[in-house]
Amino acid sequence: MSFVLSGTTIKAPQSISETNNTQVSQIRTLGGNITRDYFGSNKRQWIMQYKTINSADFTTINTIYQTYLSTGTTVSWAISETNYTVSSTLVHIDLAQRSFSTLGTDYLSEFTLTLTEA
Amino acid sequence: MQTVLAAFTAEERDTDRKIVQSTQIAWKKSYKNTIVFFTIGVSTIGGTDLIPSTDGSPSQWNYYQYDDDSSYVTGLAYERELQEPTGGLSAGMAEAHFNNTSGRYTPRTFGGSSAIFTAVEKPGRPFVVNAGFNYAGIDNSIPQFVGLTDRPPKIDMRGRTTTIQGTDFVGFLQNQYVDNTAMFTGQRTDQIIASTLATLGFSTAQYDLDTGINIVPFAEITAGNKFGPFIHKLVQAENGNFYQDETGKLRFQNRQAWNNAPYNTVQRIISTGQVIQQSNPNYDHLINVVEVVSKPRAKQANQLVFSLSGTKEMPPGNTEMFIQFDDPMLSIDAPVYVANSLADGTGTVTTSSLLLKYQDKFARTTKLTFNNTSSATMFITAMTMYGRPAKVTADIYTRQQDDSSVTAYAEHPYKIDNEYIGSKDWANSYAQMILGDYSEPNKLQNITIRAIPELQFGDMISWQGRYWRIYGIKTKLDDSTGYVQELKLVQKTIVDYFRIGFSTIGGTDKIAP
Repeated sequence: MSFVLSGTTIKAPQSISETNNTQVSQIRTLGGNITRDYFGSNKRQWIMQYKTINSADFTTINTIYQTYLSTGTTVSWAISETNYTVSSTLVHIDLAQRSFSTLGTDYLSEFTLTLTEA
Repeated sequence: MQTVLAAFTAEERDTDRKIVQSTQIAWKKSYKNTIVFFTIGVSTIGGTDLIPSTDGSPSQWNYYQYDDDSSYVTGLAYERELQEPTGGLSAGMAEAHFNNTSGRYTPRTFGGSSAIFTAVEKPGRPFVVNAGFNYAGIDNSIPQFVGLTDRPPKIDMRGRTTTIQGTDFVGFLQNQYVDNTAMFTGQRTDQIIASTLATLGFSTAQYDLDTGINIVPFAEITAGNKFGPFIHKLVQAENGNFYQDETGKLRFQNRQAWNNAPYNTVQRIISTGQVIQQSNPNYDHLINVVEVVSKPRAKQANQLVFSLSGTKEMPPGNTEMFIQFDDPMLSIDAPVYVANSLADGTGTVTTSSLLLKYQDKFARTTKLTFNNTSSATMFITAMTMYGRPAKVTADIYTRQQDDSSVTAYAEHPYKIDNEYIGSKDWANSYAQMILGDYSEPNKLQNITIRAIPELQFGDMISWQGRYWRIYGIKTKLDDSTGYVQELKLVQKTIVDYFRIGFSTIGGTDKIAP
């Protein structure tokens, strides 16, 4: 029952979306029919929204991201929730922006973690 | 057409196709001649023996150790086109685009440090492309291109992409220079090509040559020139084609090759459901007047080829003398000469004191080294030399036209000047064949189709109820275009003209006009 990125359990996001990403060329022939040429297999992408996250939970994710950037090596990703599972998959990580809507001493932050299947 | 399974054909016609490709490059050009090719009944499945190219003839290029670069490919393009209307030498080209985010294709000079960073900029790397479809969960690809990279890669560091380009082995041999002049007399085109390929180091397993129809009385390839133009001219005189097929085999096809199996049956029926674009070329290709010019040479009987005019001074010791001939010489005899102590020939005959020490023979020159063994200067007052020259034996000129086409479209002339066309009959039939194929504009067409990777040159296809021959294939494979081919099509009429020694009386061969 967890979200595991690069072997580390990370905090569950407030929302998550999974999208399919196919590489396809769609061609219309003179006969009128639409045909498709697919290149490679379907690749999934997970976009996870985090809100009011404390500094420690952000640091856990950010450390994995920084390691990914410095090594240039994809990391494993798995979800084992009761009704939503993703078997271990290698992913690229994007952690583009961190924003603070509530300041104060805790600096709770909001950010989006994007994982793209390699 | 390459042989493929029915399931492969079914997938290529499917509305949803899964495209696969395999791109391999021998970056380090490591050659392993201990590679053993798979033999049914001998090799074991799962063993180390390799599957050779599809026609079962292990070519030299199979022995290189290739890196599999398929997973880095973002796009492929390759093309080959016959030299219509006359035929000749045709080279294929290929281009591969790679994702370089990993830095694999970044050369040392750009700060690269990958496993191939020292090799990536070097030309002449063996380069193999296969493509096809994934069906039943398995990648099924067939040969599409074999060649060598021919220039440094195009590196886009900001875009993180690298593009490499290459030509097939025809492109390679086109640019090879001849070290020693060679002459051929009374040989067929295929015999001369075989000899030339052997000179270049090609083994017989690497080529397949049709028996030539044209017998070339005399051909000469001179040192310092390139092989490409020589082979091109020979094959053009034949009205045939010399090219490398998708599997890497060099092929010479004579002008009648497409009359025979498998070219005489329809290989694929193309439906509008497979065609993306259809276009007609402009009138530039229209030919309704053909002129053929040739000055063939042939070997002659032994004859006088040199006679000294004036005298030649011979001081004591060695003296070199160069004699140039107007024609290529198949053989040169030793000179017959008379020497005298005086230039006007009134002194003492000294021929016995003048020795011919060496005679070096070249194609159009001979170098004589005389040794005057006496202590006084003497003079050669007379000298003759016999030999077998290859002289121009005919001045062939023919001009033929298609009157109805000239009336309709004005004159569109085409001239062929080729000294390997040896007879007026041959020139006439040559001109007629070109007129037959190119005097009407509707005999050429280009179509862009969803790729049928097994198609090859000369394949007969049926399209809109007419039969067409493929003479050009331009393939693109990327995620924006899809897997498509632009086919250049011609409606070719192949006529067997009567030839003494080949055709039979009462047979179907026509008499040349």
